[in-house]
Amino acid sequence: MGFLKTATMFAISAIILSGCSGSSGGGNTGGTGGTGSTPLDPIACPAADPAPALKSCTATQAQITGTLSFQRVPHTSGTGASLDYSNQSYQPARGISIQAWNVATNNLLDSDTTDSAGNYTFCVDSNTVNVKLRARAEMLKSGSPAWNMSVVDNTSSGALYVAETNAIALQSPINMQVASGWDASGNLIDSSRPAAPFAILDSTYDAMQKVLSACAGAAFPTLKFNWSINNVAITPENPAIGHISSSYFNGTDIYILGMKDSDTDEYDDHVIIHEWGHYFEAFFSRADSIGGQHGLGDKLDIRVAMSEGWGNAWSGIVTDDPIYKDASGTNQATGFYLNVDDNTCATNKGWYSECSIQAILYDLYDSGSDSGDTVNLGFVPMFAVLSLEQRNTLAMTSVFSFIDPLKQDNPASASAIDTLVGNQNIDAITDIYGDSQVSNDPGISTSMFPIHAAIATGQVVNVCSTSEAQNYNGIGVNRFLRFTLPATTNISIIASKTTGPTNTDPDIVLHERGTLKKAAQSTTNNQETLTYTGLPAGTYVIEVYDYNYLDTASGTSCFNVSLTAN
Amino acid sequence: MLNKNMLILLLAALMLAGCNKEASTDHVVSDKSAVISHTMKPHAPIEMSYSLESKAAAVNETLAIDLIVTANADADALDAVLTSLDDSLSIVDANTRYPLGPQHRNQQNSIRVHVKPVAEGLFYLNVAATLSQNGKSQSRSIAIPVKVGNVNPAKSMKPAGVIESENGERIISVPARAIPAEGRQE
Repeated sequence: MGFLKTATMFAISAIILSGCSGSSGGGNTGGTGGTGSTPLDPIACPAADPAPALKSCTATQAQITGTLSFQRVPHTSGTGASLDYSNQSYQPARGISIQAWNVATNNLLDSDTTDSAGNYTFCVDSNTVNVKLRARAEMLKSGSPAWNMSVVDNTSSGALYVAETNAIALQSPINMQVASGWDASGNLIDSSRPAAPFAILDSTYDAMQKVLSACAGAAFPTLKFNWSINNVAITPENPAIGHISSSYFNGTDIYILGMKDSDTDEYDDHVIIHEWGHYFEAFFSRADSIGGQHGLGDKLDIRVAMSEGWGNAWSGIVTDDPIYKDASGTNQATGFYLNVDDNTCATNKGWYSECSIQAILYDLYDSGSDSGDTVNLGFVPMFAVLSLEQRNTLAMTSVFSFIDPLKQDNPASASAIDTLVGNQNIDAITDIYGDSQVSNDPGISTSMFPIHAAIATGQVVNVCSTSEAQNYNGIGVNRFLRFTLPATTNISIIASKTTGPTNTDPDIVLHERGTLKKAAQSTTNNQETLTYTGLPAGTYVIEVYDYNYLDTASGTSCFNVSLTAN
Repeated sequence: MLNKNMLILLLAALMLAGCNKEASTDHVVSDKSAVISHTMKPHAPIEMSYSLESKAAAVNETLAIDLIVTANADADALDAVLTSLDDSLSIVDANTRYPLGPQHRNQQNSIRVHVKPVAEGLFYLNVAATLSQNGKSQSRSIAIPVKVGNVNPAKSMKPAGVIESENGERIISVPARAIPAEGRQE
């Protein structure tokens, strides 16, 4: 399998969109440790609109009230990760678009949006004889806050799922239930699995509520979940026939696995919220992550470790349940769990560890005081940093660019935060670049330091790209250097091999606040050159890597990186 | 898959149209191929690759599939379980569960499995692998597509029941129950 550069482009796409999503206004540049570079606009958090008035029907109308519910299949209790069909229950479907139709005329009679208890009210022509109700797998709201979330079938050209009743005589109340399609023994009795899209939206509703707790008038950009009973983990991908590599966020949409007996994620609320967390990063914060395969034992690129650790922690934060579960296998009877509140991270601790990041972030949020955790900030201070300093950081996004401003914003907790990160073999964080990391972690080579090497015009710095952790997104594949220009300058950046395999393939990417400024990705052996005419004053990050380590090659390649003002 | 240069142009357009930022010299100089990766859910550090004995599988003929399961981390145990996701594809081998034992990082484990389709279509062989480290397990599932005969993959999918709504919108209608006041299901 060939690994990518396009992943970088996707991350960049998300960053660009992120940069476009804020409201206008001035504000704090955020971040520390540098100057210049135009910051992004801050995320707008206006007050929420007043609650809408209750719907009242006219004298010629009949009122229909009712409750929309969907059947959720829970996981087995404790740390069991399988789905427990014997304990299914109906839960209110919140925030869902619902309609009443005249069966005789096929005309829409009225529409409503279910409230936080799944309730709806229709006002219809009192002469109507029979009605049918239709719940659309979408959550729409305008005003403040606003959102547009829906679930469509990627294997049916993006058709929207709707649940629909048979005709029923006009009366009130009429409740509406959407079943899972599974019986109590786990037998599939309706292959369309009707409740699945509503379960996905229910997890989304919870995620949005958590954001609203910190930003009452948040405007959520449009998001489509692509779910299908045909979605199965296959590469190369072909979403039109259900071949998706996993459940993922691609910078604009979320794709969710759905093939029974392989891997279904619609009831894996932590999985849904994890991917929604990536959407949050893209539009409310910033993630420079390049994506790719990852797990708790991996030693990851700092950008990936932060993003995936965030996704895992976020699923615990939204649900107030640190046990992440992912069911799979025959009858969805296997799977695995992870505890984002477990600080042991036995196989892997450090700033490159998704496990460490999730443990830190969840402990910052939760009110529990487990070993080494005396911090309980809650989500509001975390949102403040994610939506401002992290979004605008001059460094690549990482645990450093998040923790440093968090400590500055919450000085009373700074010492406890140092202890928290110290439990994960991370030195006290005092800057956004990771310069404070002086310990040579035995798990990685000393060549990984510094994490963002400083370079100035006229200087040469040697960095090494290595696959020693893992290809593509392992720590050390992509190396970072930073520099600040006091004025607009014509520059050249050259990476030349000093040691390594006979044929190395260095590439160079120039970033400004995570946004691509320019990339040089020729196939020339052992040298790469990037020139930029009229690079404005500001602080930039140079990313250098050996392209061969994005794929399956193994080794270490070192390059002299020079920065020249022309 | 998007052509890389097209994607880059798209990104540049986004920068210009969406943000109105100065981007006159912003571009990517690249002549390399690429594939797409995403920010995906966590799973076990396991890589799986496979090759089919023949890309033209035939009805009632046994097909060999060579599977390589690689542990990307030291592990106390690695197990792989093979199942067919379709009634029309059976696993010929008696053994479908492979305990692969303790693993060192990058250890590759080869499995040869034989399947037999009984109809034309696009069928899937599922591979569920579980890796255990320090008493904790993570898993990963992939599916291996087996195309039998000259079939259109899109036609082989389980039907979704797409209809056109009253206003021309494409929707997939799934059933729901209406429960009136007296609790009688309609």
